[in-house]
Amino acid sequence: MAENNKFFIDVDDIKPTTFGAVRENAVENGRIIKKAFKGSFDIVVKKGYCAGKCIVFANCDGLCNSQKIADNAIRPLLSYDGTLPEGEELEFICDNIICGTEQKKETSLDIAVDMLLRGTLLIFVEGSKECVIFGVQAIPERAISEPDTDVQEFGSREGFTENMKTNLTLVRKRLCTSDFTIEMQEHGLKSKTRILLCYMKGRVDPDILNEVKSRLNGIDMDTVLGAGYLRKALDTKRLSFFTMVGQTERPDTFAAKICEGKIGIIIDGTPFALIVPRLFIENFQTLDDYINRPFFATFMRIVRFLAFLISVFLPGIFVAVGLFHQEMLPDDMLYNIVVMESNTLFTLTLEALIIHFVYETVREAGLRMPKSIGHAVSIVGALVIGDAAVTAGLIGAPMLIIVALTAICSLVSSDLYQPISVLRIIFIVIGGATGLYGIMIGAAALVISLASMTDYGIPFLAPVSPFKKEMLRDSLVRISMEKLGKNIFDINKLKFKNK
Amino acid sequence: MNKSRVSAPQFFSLLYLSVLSSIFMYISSPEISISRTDSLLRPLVFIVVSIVAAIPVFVLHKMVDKEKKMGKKAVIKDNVFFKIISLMYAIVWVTGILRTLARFDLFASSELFPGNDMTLFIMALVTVCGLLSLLGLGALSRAAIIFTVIVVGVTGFVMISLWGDVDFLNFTPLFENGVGSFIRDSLLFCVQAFEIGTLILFLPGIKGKVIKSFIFWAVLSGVTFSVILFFTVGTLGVFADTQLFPTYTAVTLAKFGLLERMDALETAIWILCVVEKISLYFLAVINCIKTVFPKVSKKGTCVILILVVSIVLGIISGDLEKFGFVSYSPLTIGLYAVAVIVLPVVLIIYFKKVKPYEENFENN
Repeated sequence: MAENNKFFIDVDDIKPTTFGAVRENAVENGRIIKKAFKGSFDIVVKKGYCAGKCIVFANCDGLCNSQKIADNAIRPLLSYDGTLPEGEELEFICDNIICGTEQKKETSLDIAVDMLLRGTLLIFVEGSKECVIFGVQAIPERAISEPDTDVQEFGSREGFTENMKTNLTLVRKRLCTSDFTIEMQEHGLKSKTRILLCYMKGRVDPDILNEVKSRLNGIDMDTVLGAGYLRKALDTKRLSFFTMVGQTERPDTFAAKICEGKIGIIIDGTPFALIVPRLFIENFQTLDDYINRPFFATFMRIVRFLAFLISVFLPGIFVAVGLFHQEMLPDDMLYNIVVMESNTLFTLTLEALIIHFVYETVREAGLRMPKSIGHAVSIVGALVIGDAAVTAGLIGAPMLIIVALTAICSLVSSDLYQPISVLRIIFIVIGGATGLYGIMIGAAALVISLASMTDYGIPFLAPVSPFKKEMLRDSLVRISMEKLGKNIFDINKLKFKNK
Repeated sequence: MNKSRVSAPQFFSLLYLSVLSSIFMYISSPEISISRTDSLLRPLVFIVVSIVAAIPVFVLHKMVDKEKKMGKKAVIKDNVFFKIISLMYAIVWVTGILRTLARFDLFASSELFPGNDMTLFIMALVTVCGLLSLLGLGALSRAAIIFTVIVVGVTGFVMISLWGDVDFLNFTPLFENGVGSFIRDSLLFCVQAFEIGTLILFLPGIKGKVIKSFIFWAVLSGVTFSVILFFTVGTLGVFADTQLFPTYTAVTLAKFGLLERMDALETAIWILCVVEKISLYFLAVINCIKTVFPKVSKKGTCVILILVVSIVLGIISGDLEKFGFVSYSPLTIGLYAVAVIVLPVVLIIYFKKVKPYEENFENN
């Protein structure tokens, strides 16, 4: 019916407007913009004349390149001494007077104002119901630099910045194919943050893509200021310690994941891009693994996995063995531990908790404080924890070694730091209360809860459980690139099949 | 996207861990000797009996599956008959939970922490298992694959480290007390594994070659039992009959390099089996109760079940007479017969006679 009836208006077409359409009176448009921003000093509205026609320019100072505005728009327009064809003024200005590749005509003043805030110049011409949106953006941004997180030994030194376009360029130059598809969305009622949904056509699973889109569309927030804001919507297992939403600061990692059939999300204003879905095994993989030789890549993945186990369980097991299962240790070792621990004030459990609390506090302070005083805190932390506490008899030396080892191991897989730091406290308490048996019950519960995690139809523990033999070639082990074939890893092979 | 889709190897890993916990916490009794070499052959009987006993379950599964493939679905809702069957199964599985936990309680209070009251520890275990069962069969089965690798690896390692303590003089001639005694002991050994009955509940949700996987499960379980019993008999000899938990006692002898005693390690690994077994029973009870009372939520059933089991365990804990009732052999035989043979046969007869099918269910 809608196609046949020219008066038919679809409900979806009706959108609330704030400013309405562009007025024929150019000055009126300028007045509306000034009023909308309540005279904000960074909104610049200027009036001039071109071939006797009143022209109004509007831009947001700081987001535009002033030199470009002057050279490419204002000067050519105001110095033009010819005539403008009646009724086609705007086309003539765009085609013959102003110079720039990014030009767009717009009838809606709402969209024009929105674009103004994205760093474009608006040009209103007297008598025209359209305006020109002229691309002169110069949004301040950080230079491309090596990422602080997700550091690679042999990989690229480029990292994402806060600028969405720069980030897209960094990915685009690595994926020179028309299959690489990008969809733009806007989220946040106030922030109107732009996000880019990136995927590889033909490799992404349509069900997963639709699921991601539907979850993103369900976001109802005023502001989206970082990746974490979207993570909440993309992750269904919010009570779990672990997440199936990954993040990276590296364009090469991002491109690699896109090639595996995953969906990447670049968010304007943050150097961290999201990737869904993420498997548990990926926490132990790095891009260096594909550059290193297979035996070393496999060795390093096993090391990372063991480091994870040590960082979660070692303090708890030490407390459990020290309190409940002393018979497990050889006599000499037991004697040494008893001698050192007998001089301390607290029980092993309390010791472990205190020292972890101190460690986490020092770490947090090191992260938040100004860098200029960072060294001072490090020295104080190291002295207090490392020497004075042992000498004063507050902490036993064996516990200190355990905590130091745990702390180092927990930094191996940076993405797992958050779950690790909480889980190890839980296991210390369990180990101190119930010994190894309690730890085993806790470990069983942890593994079963990990096995229960299934998002986007992909089990979190795949390809280990459910077991996929062909996918194990690139899991905790990595076989040679020749054997891996051209498709290194395809996430869709791990998806539960619909009957 | 079916979250609880479970493959046959995953489910039978879960069942493998479940039966393995029975042998780990095998309790000596005056009527059944474990020290004789005959006991090494019991697992062979276990394999045969398990396969034969499971025939009714598989026949029933095939019957229902055949009708399903023809576009018919068994109508089980609001049917008193099915509610009674479900209730009976629920009682069997609750008894299974109590039996396992009572044994574990005895094991913990006599071997792990002698002299300590382990009630709170056991109650924590009940709560954890109850909550884990809410994560579904998929989670339990997927985790079981990982646990199976760990349990088999550690148990194999511990058993190998026991090799030096094996004395071949401990092996007595076969059938010393006669074949009748061997068969009786073997059957009592087999009925410990009445979790086979859970197949009737979970088979419809399992994909893959179930019969092949089941036979593999029976053989693997039998072989594992034989290996564990070989080292138990070989290291302890007649001394095994005087021990409450002979397998555990054998493991306490194991040592390897720096590790002086590996019983704590092995026990910790066994706990994985107990957690899986109790969670499986919990899940089975919750599913049965759901059939009886469709409006009661799974979470609600789980909480009530945790409370009931904790209260009963509180009563049983520390009372050997009451504990004896839970481990009473005729009760075990009865549970096995009801769960694995009687109820599936009754269901087969019902399906043959009544044919409670609804046609073209896929279009409804």
